[in-house]
Amino acid sequence: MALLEFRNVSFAYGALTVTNNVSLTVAPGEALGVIGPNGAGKSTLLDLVTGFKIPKSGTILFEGTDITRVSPQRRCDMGIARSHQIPRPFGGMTVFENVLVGATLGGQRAEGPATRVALDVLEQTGLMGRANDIAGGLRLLDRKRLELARALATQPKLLLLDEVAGGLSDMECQTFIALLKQIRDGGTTIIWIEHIVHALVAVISRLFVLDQGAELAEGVPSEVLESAEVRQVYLGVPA
Amino acid sequence: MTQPAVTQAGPHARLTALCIAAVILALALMPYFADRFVLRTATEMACFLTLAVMWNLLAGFAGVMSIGQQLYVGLGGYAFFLIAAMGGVPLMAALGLSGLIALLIAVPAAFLLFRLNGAYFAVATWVLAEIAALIAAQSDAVGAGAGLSLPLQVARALGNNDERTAIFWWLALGLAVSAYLVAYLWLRSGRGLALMAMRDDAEAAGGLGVSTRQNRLMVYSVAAFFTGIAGAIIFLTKLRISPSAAFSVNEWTAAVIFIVVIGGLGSLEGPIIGLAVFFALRTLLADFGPWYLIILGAIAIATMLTAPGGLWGVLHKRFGWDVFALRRHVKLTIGEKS
Ligand SMILES: Nc1ncnc2c1ncn2[C@@H]1O[C@H](COP(=O)(O)OP(=O)(O)OP(=O)(O)O)[C@@H](O)[C@H]1O
Ligand SMILES: [Mg+2]
Repeated sequence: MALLEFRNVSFAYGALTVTNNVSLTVAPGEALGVIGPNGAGKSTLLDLVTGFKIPKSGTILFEGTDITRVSPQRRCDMGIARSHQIPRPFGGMTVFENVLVGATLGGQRAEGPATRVALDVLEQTGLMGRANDIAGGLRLLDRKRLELARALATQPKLLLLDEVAGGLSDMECQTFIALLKQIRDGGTTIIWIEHIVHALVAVISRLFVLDQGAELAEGVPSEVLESAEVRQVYLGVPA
Repeated sequence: MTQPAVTQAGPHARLTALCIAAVILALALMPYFADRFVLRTATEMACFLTLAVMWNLLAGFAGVMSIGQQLYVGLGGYAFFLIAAMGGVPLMAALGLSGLIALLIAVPAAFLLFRLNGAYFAVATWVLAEIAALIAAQSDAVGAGAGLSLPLQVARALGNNDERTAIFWWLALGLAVSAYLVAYLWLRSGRGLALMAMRDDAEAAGGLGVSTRQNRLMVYSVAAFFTGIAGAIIFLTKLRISPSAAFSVNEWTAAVIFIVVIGGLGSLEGPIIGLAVFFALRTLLADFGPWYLIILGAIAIATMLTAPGGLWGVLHKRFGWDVFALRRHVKLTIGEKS
C-alpha cells in the first residue's frame, strides 16, 4: 500500500489554479524529490499534505485513509511533519523548547522520553550549542535547521522538506546530505523540494517535476533531468 | 554518548521557594497587625492580581487577545449575589459556584468567539460583555439598572466589620495564590509548551500536533473560572453590584491590561510589579480626574514601544532574575557551547 496518494488533486486561489489535477503515489521508505520553477506550486503541494490547505477537488490518502479534510494536528499525530520554506520558529521560546513541542505534543510522548528525543535531534541537526537561545533571534541558517529539527522530533513516517539546503556551504551541504540519507535509511519516507539539484539527487530515488501546478515529468532522476521538456522549463535550456 | 541534563529550576530555587512561602505567610497574618484601610487596599490588589494573572495567561502566554474579561467579572459577581440571596449556601461553596457559572458560560462563548481571528476575536469578546451588561440592565430579576445589594444577613453572618475585612482579605489572597499556582504548574508542563507555541505561531503549532482548539478552550474557560470568582469577591466586598460597575471595561480590562503590560506580558513576575505601579499611580493621580486614565494610557504605550517585556523584562535581562522559573534549561558543557 502507498504511504501517500494524491488522486486528481486540485487547488486554486479564486481563478488562479495553483495545483492542477495532480496524481501522485509515494511508497513507504521512498525518498521523492520535487522540482519546478518558482511559483510552480511546490510548497502548495506540501500544504495540501499537511492540511494547511484543503483541496478544491480530489482525494488525499495517507496509509490508505482519506485525509483530505483531516486537521493538521491529526495529520501530525498520524505521522506527517514538515519544514516550512520560510521558517516559522516559535519566536518566544528557546530552541530546545521548540524542538520539545514537536517531541512531546507531535510525538505524543511523556516529557521524559520526549526530552531524550529532543536532545538527540538537536545533536543530529547541529543545534545543541544553540539549545538555550531564543528561537526568534536565530540567523536564517539556524532557523532552517530548527525547522528540520522540530519536524524530526515528532519522529514522522512522512517527512516533508521545503528548500532546506539553500545557503549551506559545501561542507555543511555534505553533512546535511549524510543526515538525510541516515533518516531515509532509518525508514522515514521523505518528500523534498529543493533547487539545489545535486544535493537532491544524492538522497532521492525518484523525481517529480511540477510546472504551473501540473505534473510535467516524473521518474528516475537522471532520466527526468535529461528530458527535453524539463530542460526547457526548469533549466531554461532551449529544446 | 551521554545527553546533557535539562533543568527547569531557577538559579536559587530552594531559597526562592522559601521566600515565597514566607511572603505568603506574612500576608496571611496581616489582619493581626494591619489596619482596616490597608487590608481593604490589599484585598482589592489581590483581586486585581488574579485578574492580571489570568489575562496574562490568555494574552501573554496563549496569544488569546480578549478585551472582554469584564464579562466574567460581572457574571461571577451577579451569580454570587443571586446565590447569596437564596440563603443557606456556605460562603466558599457560593464563591466556587460563581466561578463555575462563569466557566459554564465561557464554554459556549468560546465556540462562538474562536471562529473569529485577531481583531475580530478581540472586538467580539468586548461586544459579548456589553450584551451581558445590557441584559443585566433590562432584567428585573437582578434589579435592572439599579442592580442588587447583598442581603444584610449574609454580611452579618461573617462577623463584625473587622472580622469581615479579615475574611475578605483571606479569600482574595487565597484566590490570588491559587491562580498563581495553577498558572505556574500549567506553564511548566507540556501543556504550557502548547500554549506558548500557539501564541508564537498557531498554524505551525497545529502542524506539530498542538490542538489549538482544545488548548484555547481550556485556557479560556480556566481564566473565566478564576475571573468569575474574583468578580464574586470584588462585589462581595463592595456589598452592591450594578450592570455598569460589574461589566466595566475600564476597570476590569483596561486597568488589568495596563498592569500586565507595564509589569511584563508573558511572565508570571510581571503582574506583581505592574500591580505595584498601578496602585502607586492611582493613589498619586487620584486628584487628576480624567487625566489619570490618559496618563496611564501614555505610560502603557511608551512601555510597549521601549520595553515590550515590561519592567520585569528589563530586570530579567539586566540581572538574570527568575522568581517563577518556567524555562527548561539544557546544561551544556563548555565544548557544546558556541
Ligand atoms: N495567498 C495567495 N493568494 C494568491 N496566490 C498565491 C497565494 N500564495 C501563493 N500564491 C501563488 O500560488 C502559486 C504557487 O505558490 P507556491 O508557494 O506553492 O510555489 P512554489 O513552487 O513553492 O514556489 P517557490 O519556488 O518560489 O517556493 C504562486 O504562483 C503564488 O504566486
Ligand atoms: Mg515554495
